[in-house]
Amino acid sequence: MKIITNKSSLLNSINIVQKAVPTKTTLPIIEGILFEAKNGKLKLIGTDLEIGIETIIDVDVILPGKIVLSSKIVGEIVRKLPDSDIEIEAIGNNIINIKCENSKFKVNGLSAEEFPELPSVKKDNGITVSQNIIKDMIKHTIFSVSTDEVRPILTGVLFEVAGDKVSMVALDGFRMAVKSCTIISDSDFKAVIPGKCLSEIGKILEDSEEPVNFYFTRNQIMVSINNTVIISRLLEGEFINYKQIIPNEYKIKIKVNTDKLIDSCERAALFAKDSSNNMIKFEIIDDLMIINSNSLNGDVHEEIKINKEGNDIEIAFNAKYFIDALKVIESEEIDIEFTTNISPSIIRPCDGTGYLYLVLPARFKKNN
Amino acid sequence: MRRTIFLVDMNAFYISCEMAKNPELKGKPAAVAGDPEYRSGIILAANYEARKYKIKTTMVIHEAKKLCPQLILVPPNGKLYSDNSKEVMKILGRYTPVIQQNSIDEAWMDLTGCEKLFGKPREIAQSIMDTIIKELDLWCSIGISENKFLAKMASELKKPLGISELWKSEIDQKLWKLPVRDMYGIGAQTEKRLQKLAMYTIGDIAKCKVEVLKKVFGKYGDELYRLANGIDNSAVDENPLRGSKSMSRSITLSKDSTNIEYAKNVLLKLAEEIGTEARKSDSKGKTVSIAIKYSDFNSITRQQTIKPTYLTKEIFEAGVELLERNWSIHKPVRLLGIGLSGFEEESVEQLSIFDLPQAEDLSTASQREEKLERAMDVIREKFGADKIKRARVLDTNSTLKQ
Repeated sequence: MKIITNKSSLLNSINIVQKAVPTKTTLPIIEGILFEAKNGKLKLIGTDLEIGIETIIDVDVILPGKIVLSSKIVGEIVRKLPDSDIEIEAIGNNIINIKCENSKFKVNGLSAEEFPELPSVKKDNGITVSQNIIKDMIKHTIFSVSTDEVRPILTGVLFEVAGDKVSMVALDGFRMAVKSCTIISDSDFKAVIPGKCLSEIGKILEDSEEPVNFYFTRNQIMVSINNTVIISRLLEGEFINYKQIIPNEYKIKIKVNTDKLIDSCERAALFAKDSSNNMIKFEIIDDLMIINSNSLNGDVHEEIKINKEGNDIEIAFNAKYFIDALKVIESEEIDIEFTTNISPSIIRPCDGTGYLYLVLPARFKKNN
Repeated sequence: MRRTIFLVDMNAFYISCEMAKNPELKGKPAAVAGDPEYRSGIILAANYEARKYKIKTTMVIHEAKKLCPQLILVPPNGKLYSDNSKEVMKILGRYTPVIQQNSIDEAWMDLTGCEKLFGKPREIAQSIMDTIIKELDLWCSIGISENKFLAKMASELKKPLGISELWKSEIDQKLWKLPVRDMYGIGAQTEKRLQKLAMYTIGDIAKCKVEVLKKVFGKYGDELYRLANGIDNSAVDENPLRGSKSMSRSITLSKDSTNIEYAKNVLLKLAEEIGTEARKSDSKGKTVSIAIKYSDFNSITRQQTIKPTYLTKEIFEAGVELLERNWSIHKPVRLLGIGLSGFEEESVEQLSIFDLPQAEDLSTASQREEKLERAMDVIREKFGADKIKRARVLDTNSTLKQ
């Protein structure tokens, strides 16, 4: 194998496949990246056996061939090389030379034959959406996936296509994020994508209107973005019927400026962080929202002007659950719907961008 | 920064409340007594006039009458005392929000940093005392120090209407000469054990080697040593019981047993009582302990830590595990006990989507168990504790005696 390529495109593709390469494993071969050169293309593959990422770049192929190189070593070398042409040449016995300007590395590799093959995925169920839409949907939901293995299905994000509506839903038991968009499609299917996989997809996606293709089988997903393909297993089992959790009505609704609320919540959380529960308390009185929190080190009181329909209410939340959602909302104002101080509250951006965030409050226990 | 801690102790509280309500009692020996109609009643609180006749709390009425035939006896009026107590606490609340009520008639206050607002500690104490006299016609003594223990000890130095300071730097003169029995927290039992170690004064405790105390009293020995040396870092806490409580039940079996299945049923019944109590106060504990006393009166306790719970089933299962690990068919058991402790300190609970009524079918086994046990609690509350029980205790029920 002998190829010539440039640093930036090589580094970019290494960065992409590295997202699937595990750092700790009992199988040394998968700590490497498979490099395969033929027909003017270099294909790179990384996998942790759950997720596989394959990306292809155009290079000058002088001699076709393939080899597995340690992801860590090759990544660091290429990152530190000058921004110039790089020559990679196999010199036999799974050893390669990497040359760039006045630098020359000799790197021990592993035989490409041992590298696991990525499964092939049939393109039965599929949709095509622009990248920025999917990236945005991931951003709005991914932080709500559960990290608790008690309910493995909740460590994934529900991807639901119903006619021309596509939705992503993530919930960890304490809050739930639902983001929906309209697309051109007429299929109906759903799948639960592992949170880690979707998070990596989110990082690879660009903020452009270029298309991304999603294909689903019963237990696998394949996503193709430009010259990159991501394959992952899907989570098995039925996702929770999230629609039944969303309350049909509310008693109190407020409209509040998003940025002001984030700033106030973050300041209130400074003290909330001291306690293990991270609680901040909202008191909604007439056209005022008062945010309080206290700890051994002191307390904080914040006031924000709001518009309100309905009665006053006093309700407490884990600051993190609130701030997580506020941070991804771009709308200048949001509506928050409350029912009682022990039932779910709903945050919706006022710009009608198809986002719903449900969050459960914390109950103050009666002191004995 | 040195703290400023007060202990406000109401003098002869019950009878003083009666005197404030009925001024005719003033200047005459009077006491609140169990039930003056019966000769067997006891003195609950005597005023200072009665105390001149050596009348003391817990004295039997006819003995008191012997000492002072003209003693006026008043039946106790719980509501009057608790109303007055609340009024006192309200007055204290004007000076600081950091108040820990220790009993109906005494409370600690943290006045650290209040000098600018209300003056020097002694001036604040005078103002509190005057206000309570003026508004409620009640007397108090106030102890001033830098921690709760010394404040309490200070309040005992002068009664009634005393304002006493006892700072750590003064303990060798003011505190150490007192007998151990006068130390807050020491009762007759501890006094006896201390006397066996030839410790008669608080100073003796303060000056001994802490290892000696630790050997005899365990952790409590360390505490005694520190208190005697005037060290007490505990905060004035509005809710001191939080996180330190434990619940336990034990029962002496009607006859000694080597039958583990029978013992399990006994534990279940006891666990049920603890579960009910824990659920009532919404307190989840993470430590389950069992106590076994054998027919030779030797006893053991064993404990294990589990996921915090208040469910009978989970308490029982942890108890059974401990029981199985420690059971011996060669040692007949006389008494069995089970306890729950290590209660969560959280006063807030994050609610979960799975607790919502509309999420019925999403619930886990433990959530279903909670619903079941809560339903049983309601039935028992309404119709009586024995109206619903688990099938496995049905046949052994008649053999259980509390």
